[in-house]
Amino acid sequence: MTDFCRAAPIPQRPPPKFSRPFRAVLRENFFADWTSAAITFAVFAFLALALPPLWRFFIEDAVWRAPDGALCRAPGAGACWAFIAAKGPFFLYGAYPPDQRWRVDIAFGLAAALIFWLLAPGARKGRAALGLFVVLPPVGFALLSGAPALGLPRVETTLWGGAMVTLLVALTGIVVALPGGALLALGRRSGLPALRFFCAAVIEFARGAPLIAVLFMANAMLPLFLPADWAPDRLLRPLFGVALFASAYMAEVVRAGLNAVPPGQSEAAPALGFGRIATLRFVVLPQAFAAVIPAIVNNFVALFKDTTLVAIVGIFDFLHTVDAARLDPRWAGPKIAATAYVFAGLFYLAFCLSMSAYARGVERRLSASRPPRL
Amino acid sequence: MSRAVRRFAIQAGLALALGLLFAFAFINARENLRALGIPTSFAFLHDVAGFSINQSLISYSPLSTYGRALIVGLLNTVLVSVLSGIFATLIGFAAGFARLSRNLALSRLAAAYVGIVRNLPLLLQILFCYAIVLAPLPGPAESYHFAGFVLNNRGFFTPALSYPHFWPAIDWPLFDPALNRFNVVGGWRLSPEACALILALSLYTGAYIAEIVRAGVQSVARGQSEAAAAMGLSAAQARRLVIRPQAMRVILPPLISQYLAMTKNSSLAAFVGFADLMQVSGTILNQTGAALQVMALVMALYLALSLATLAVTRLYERRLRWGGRT
Repeated sequence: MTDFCRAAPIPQRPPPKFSRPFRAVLRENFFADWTSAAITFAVFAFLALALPPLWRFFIEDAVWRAPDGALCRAPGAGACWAFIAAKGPFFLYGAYPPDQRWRVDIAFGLAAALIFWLLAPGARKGRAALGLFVVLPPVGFALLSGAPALGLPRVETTLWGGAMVTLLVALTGIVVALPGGALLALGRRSGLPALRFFCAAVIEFARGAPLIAVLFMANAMLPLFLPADWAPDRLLRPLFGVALFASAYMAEVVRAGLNAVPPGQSEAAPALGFGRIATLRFVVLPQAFAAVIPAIVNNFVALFKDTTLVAIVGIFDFLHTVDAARLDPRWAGPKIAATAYVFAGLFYLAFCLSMSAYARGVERRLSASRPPRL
Repeated sequence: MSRAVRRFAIQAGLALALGLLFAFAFINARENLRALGIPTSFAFLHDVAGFSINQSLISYSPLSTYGRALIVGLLNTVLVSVLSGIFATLIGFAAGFARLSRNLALSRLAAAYVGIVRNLPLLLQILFCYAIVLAPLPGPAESYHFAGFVLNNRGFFTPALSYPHFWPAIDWPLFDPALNRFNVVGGWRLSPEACALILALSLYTGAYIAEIVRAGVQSVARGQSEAAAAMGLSAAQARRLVIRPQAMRVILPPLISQYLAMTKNSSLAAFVGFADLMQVSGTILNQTGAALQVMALVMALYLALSLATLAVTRLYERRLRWGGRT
């Protein structure tokens, strides 16, 4: 008997190629009409004028190795990368004692591992979150500040500086702002008027003032409001200010996420026997957070940039350290400012761009998994 | 326990906890203030300030009062915010449209500008503008001149507005900038610090406005421009009559919050020593120690600035609104 039906499916064929000749692509994108051609010409002329001097300054004429600033001060010398190399450890750790710097490495390595665990798709988020929000703060504090009982000598915060302080401020902001912002946002839409008023007041107060004002306030007023012998550490005060500020902004993001959860969800959950806490924990909050992950990450980018402002109360964060190092008379010269600021810019760009890229990736995943809006 | 009782108990507990916290803070503050000898009233505003201010819209000298110094700072914040707002809007709309251009070179250039500027701290950009862009400015003898404007390392000088009796408290200089041997005389001066701040703030806010403009224009459904073309409108007419009114309604709310953020960001003036509201109040705080009063004033003034910005933009928003729809 002849079988007329196919037994195996036809293998999938690749989509047909709509490749256009290179010239057509070029014409459409760069020379569609006379205006477009003129614009293209102007842009390339600008690049041809701007890029070669930059290349010469930062690469060709740059001083890569030098014992001090003499070579960099020579006429015709470009960027002074030797300065960055010589000051590298100072930019990373500030004046933290060199023989104790392994503690900083461990603390931030742990934080990085926990954050990657939390961000990895399909990971056990609960445990990662527990590690980041509950375990990390005391362990990190003990490592950085010291715990004589465990054989770790104390390191005064006046010695802390550089990238470790920037990362510490940013991490504190993140670790406090996520739960703090969620609590404030929930409080703001609670049914209890007193709680609602309190949360709204905190949020609007912190969002209405510039971060510098909040930092000033934390610096000047915390010691006033506490008994004289409790005077908080000089680094702790701006950390408090940053945490408050970041929580207020995070609260508004989370509130947007809560508003995006259809009301049917929080009505259906009690109908299925969920209690109020369980409804929040298993139904509302996961959906609310998922909807605003890109906004949360963008918020962290803003927070990371804002960490530079702690310099106003005399904290040596990364930018402040770099800015102070360029005045070192051994290295000071006409090219040091440009070198230092471009280097600092690369540091911030690396962190912010990778966070932004992650936010865009999540956004793409989210929009792919959502049903199309009609 | 009934629901109503529980609700009442929770709120009463919250109020009690807050009350105790405030009482604790109040008692400590009173104790600390007395121990440190810090003034507890606003009377210090009438004391002589004793510090000089580099740039001021109204007459000010170190013999003026703290109160007048605060007004100088407030006016400087307004000045920087308004000028930066104008430039940022121009830059932002230009970059936003460039980003939407069909020309790939132009749109990539605009994208690079937006991407880099938005991912760098504003403070770094202000310091960069101050130390790198404005450092090579020449001394007064080799100033750049163009059409009555003068630019050198003492600042940027414009022909002064002549309003002699506009408001007695505001003394507008009455002369075009003219050069003597060592300095520029007359005209209206913007200090180098203010120039750096305005430059950096305009570029930074402009990058954010560019993204807002792009999103706003893209939010107008494609069918709208196709329909406009089908109705016989030219491309320019379609842009002016169909796309722009709809895009502006999407653009405006985030644009306003961008202006508010920019006003708050102008407080970074403190880092380059430009005497804005924040810097002046920081100085006053350090000199008098009156942290509570100064911070309360600063908060109130920034809030007032935000409300003023909102009020101005509301006027424009009302014009955009269509009959009955919001």
